[in-house]
Amino acid sequence: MKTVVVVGSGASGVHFSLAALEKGWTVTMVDLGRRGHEPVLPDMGFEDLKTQLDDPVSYFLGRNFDSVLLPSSKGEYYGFPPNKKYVFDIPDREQIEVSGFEPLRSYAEGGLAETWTGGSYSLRDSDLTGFPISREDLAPHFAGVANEIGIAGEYDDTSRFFPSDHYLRKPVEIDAHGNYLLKRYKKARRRINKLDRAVIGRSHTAVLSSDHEDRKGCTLSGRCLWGCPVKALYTPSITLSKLKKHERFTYLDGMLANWLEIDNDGKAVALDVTNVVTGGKERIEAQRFVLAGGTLSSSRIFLDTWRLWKGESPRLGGLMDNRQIIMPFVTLAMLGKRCETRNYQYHQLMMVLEGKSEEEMIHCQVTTLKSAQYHAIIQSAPMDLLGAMKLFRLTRTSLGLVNINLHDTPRDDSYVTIKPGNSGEVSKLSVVYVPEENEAEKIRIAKRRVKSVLRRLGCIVPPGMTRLRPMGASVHYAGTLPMSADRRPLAVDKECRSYDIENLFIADGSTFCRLPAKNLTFTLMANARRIGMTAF
Amino acid sequence: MIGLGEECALFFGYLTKKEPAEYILEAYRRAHRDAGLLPAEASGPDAALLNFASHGGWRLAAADAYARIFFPASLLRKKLILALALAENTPQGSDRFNLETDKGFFRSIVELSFLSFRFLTFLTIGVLFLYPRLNFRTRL
Repeated sequence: MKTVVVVGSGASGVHFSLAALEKGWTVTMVDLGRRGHEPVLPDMGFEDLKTQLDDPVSYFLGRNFDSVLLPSSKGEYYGFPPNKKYVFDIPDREQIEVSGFEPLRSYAEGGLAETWTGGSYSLRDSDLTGFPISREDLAPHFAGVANEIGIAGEYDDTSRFFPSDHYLRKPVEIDAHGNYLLKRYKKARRRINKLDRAVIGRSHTAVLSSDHEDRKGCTLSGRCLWGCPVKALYTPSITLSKLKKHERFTYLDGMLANWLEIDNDGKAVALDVTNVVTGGKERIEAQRFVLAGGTLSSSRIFLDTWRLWKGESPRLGGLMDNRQIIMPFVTLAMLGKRCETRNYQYHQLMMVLEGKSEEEMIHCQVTTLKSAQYHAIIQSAPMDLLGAMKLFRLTRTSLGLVNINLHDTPRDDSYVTIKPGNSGEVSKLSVVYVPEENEAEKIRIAKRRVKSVLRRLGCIVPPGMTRLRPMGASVHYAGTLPMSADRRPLAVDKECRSYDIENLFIADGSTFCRLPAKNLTFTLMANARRIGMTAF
Repeated sequence: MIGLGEECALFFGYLTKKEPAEYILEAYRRAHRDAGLLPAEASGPDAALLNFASHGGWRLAAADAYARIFFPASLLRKKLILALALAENTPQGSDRFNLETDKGFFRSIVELSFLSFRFLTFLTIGVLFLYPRLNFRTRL
């Protein structure tokens, strides 16, 4: 019997496991596995919940009012709602110290992607510069994952940046504001293409517009951020539910992975875990081990393994994340329009701005405002609250956000390492991120270029409201145990097998050699599937 | 100073022109007492601003405008935002955030101009009445 232990149930873990099962392996998944509640009143829309729930205040603002965004709090326009807080509930022992980085971590079933916005963007060969693999290696796995989870989009001007080999499904109905922006783009296309070197098209998102297996097509309930009540928006827990039904799959929840035990031949023999219910430690033996809990978690487990094996704690350099800029805008022609209460909440449009080099490419997701916690937006208007509330009512259908993504490259001064932890068990993770020297200039140029496109679409950008998200906010962490064609320590081969521990594989973003300005999650899934299909 | 229930009714009414249901009053009290989101008692300039606003009417509008510019993290503004969040998420207030019919571009521009004028007027009143009081108290 071929046995493999997988750590983590996120985007990478579940798609690796699906592939490994297909190849005949017996899979044991180790996870803490925090769970949320089932969606309330699944047939109701976002606005209906406010009138139909017995206690809407607790549902929307939290029992302790955690989701009320006050002027002194450090929230965002789209803060996580109370029913998604479990995704970020971190066990006390998982200590971390950070510098220049504000990471989000998860120990939930499905991991951080339980809160993703579904952006599913494939990579081109030019995005894979520095990787020992090519687009050809990944292409069948992009298609395989797309068939599994369902990716909606259209073949349009953006397609040359996101090759999709005909796997795109019909997208969800676009809202009136998005439709207006697309029409404006079509009119101003020549100028936008030529002068701004930009293209606009429909987003590629992991959301179904029609039923697929046991998931329903989007009902436009506007509840994406609160958890899609019909599972039209894909999250990894959907695949985990499927895995749990497989006879060769075992899901061990309530377990925190500590480190791997390494024998004298340099092979991993068991995963050491702590059972959070009993507090006791257990060993899980297998022929192969896969770390898929995300870059920070996998780095910590790898570093603790190394510490116990070699007696030293090296630095894992090359930590990356996409810098993101949030730029609100107002589309003048949409002022004073009636609100549609039926909507798909997340982004339906994307914008790509070409650069002189791949590293200068900018990818933006354009979200027109639909359901949200409005008080977070209203208070940012430069007038009294009553006036701001009336202003919001008039402008609501004209508001939108551009989420600007910039690329990142590995540098030695951005790294993770470990320090002795307080628990006496696992170590404390230390994360240091230092931006590129020219980052400020890149941000300035990106903002100027996106504003220029928005102007041609008839939108204005309110002064002083564009926000730079902190590093770590995009949750596209990568690069600490990179793929390398040359055998070297603290790296993996093209199949993501560790050069140091021959039966250890890393199936998450740790192995990425650079980070294009694209949402990472779809590529994580495709790469994890590739590892399962080719190395197992 | 007024009690939390009265305060909630004042702020909720100011924002929505409606009386809050008992459920909203209870949530407002809970946010102060049990959840500790905001202190139940105010002191210093916060107390002076709240006291001025608690008279309602033009004084509340002036305090609201003044706080937005000169005291954005004030307790008054936080309490108003709490009332706004409660209005947004309850049946009594949620309809105040939607336009049910098209207003049209030009009518919207006229209304936006009026809102700006109204804000500047109340800001001026706020500066005239509140700046000396709060500045004096802060110096003390």
